[in-house]
Amino acid sequence: MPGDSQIEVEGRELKLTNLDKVLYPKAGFTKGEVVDYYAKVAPAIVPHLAGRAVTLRRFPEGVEDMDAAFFEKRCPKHRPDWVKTARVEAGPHAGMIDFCVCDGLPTLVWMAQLAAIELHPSLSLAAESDRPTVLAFDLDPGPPADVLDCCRVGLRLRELFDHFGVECFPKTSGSKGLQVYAPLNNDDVTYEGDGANGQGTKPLARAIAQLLEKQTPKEVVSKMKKEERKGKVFVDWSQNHRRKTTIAAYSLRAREQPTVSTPVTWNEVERAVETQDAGSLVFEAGDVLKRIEQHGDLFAPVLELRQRLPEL
Amino acid sequence: MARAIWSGSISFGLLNVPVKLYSAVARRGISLREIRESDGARIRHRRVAEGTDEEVPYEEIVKAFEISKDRYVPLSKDELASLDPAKTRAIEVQDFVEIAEIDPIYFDSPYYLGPATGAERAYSLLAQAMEGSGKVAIARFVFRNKEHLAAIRPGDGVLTLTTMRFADEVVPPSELEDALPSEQPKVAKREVDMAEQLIDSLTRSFDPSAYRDEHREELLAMIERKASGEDVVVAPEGEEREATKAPDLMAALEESIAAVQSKRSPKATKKRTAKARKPAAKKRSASTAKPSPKSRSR
Repeated sequence: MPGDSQIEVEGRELKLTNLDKVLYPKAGFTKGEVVDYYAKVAPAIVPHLAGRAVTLRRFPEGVEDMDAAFFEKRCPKHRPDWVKTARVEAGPHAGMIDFCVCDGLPTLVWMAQLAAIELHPSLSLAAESDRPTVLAFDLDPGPPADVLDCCRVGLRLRELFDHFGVECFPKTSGSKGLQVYAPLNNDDVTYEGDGANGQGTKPLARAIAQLLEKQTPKEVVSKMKKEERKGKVFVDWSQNHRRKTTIAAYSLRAREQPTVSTPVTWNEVERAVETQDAGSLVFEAGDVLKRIEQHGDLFAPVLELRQRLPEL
Repeated sequence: MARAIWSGSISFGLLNVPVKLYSAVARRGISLREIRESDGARIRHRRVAEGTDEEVPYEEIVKAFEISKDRYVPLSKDELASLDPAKTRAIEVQDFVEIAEIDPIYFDSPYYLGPATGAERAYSLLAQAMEGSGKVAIARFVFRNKEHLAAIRPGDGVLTLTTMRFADEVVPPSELEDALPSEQPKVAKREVDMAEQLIDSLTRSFDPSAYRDEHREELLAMIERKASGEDVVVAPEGEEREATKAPDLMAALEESIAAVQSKRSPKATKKRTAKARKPAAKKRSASTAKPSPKSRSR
């Protein structure tokens, strides 16, 4: 069939199909281009996926056919035998599930071949699924608030973490918002906090969100309720949970254009706010590959930096 | 003889077991009537058209969905009936699962399944096979115009059927995030130990007959006393205990930040952003230079 090909990736045999199929109709971006993007971004994205349970969000009929799209936690049964999986509890009712683990280029290309446009990894390593390696905030604008409002809240988050000597890193969600990650990579941290001594990312993230809301109730909301989010930035703290996932740095998003969740610098965030230029924080697949060539992986410290949560 | 409320058959694979459904619960609620206090006249409810005193006969009443204020889409009884699930007589077994896998939150109402006349052997065979496997059957069936999910369990040669809620009917705790704890407050290990000891001391095997509906019994007793002309004294409620205050992490955070700020000179507070970033940045470059003590690759 045209658009099909049998390839070898690092010694692994893979069959690619329907490469001509347009997955982003408005942009004319094909499945072949999705596979190509992931193959090229592999050196940057794989470290952020390695060892983690990944939930795939697949769009077999493209990004506009939401009925055909689905989240896939259970790693497909028909996977090649070299695709690694990790058994992780997926929920009180779902029980233990074998998730896909992406530890290299072949698996990444195989996922792209499944039209898994969005990759949503866990905030912990599968081997220690109770220990988040990072504390994450998802800043989600309720229209008419926009990404610049998220940037303002993001800068306040940075300032707040600064008080405690904790460094944090921004990335675009690739959709409408901004995400802020505080790397931990620290064995003393759990999601919930273990009672007497342990520190938990979720209670802290929630307290921070509540504090921001208390300081500026007209700009920030910490509750998930949709009707309260209008015109405000929702500081989503609840993703700090062992069963939740967050879009991976460098993952494509299923939007009209092939935008990417892109790590940025705080300078870029500040500049976007100063110049009122929301567009400066939108990056598509091609832009991202250029950025990586120029700056390397701006999110590398998220995997390396070892920090402690502030003691309260 | 007990009256069946439904009849049909359990079907899976080639097996087909005709059964009858019996309620497993005797509702023991006490029904109370409404009367006028002054003379004991029974209260009657009438259906009247709004703004008038005209009673509307049942045949003239249709249901309607209010799309906006005072604008309705009427739905006739026939139209509603056309949406009812097809009346099938099958209890279609979908899967067999371990009972421990089912969160009790999904269970709704219990029924007994009895064998239909002539199906006693097939029924007994199914009950024994299920008992042997230790599994529960998850089935779908149409009952009272509604599609139901149900769990069929064996026990002592009898099959029980419990209707179940569909997953989307159960409210996940996350939707009640402002009411349910989503974080575990810090508690001292000693206190947990004490609470666990208390739990241990109250642990025994479950005996359903040990628990009774005390409200119902008290209500019945009150009715009897009043009926025999005895005065009823309402015992005062116990003293309200002051609720233990939950630790407020946000307040602690706020205090902690205020403490950090007060340590800085007033001038520095204004330029805090620019100044405070430096030590953090320094720390990072240090950590990238010497990966072993501060960072680790995983």
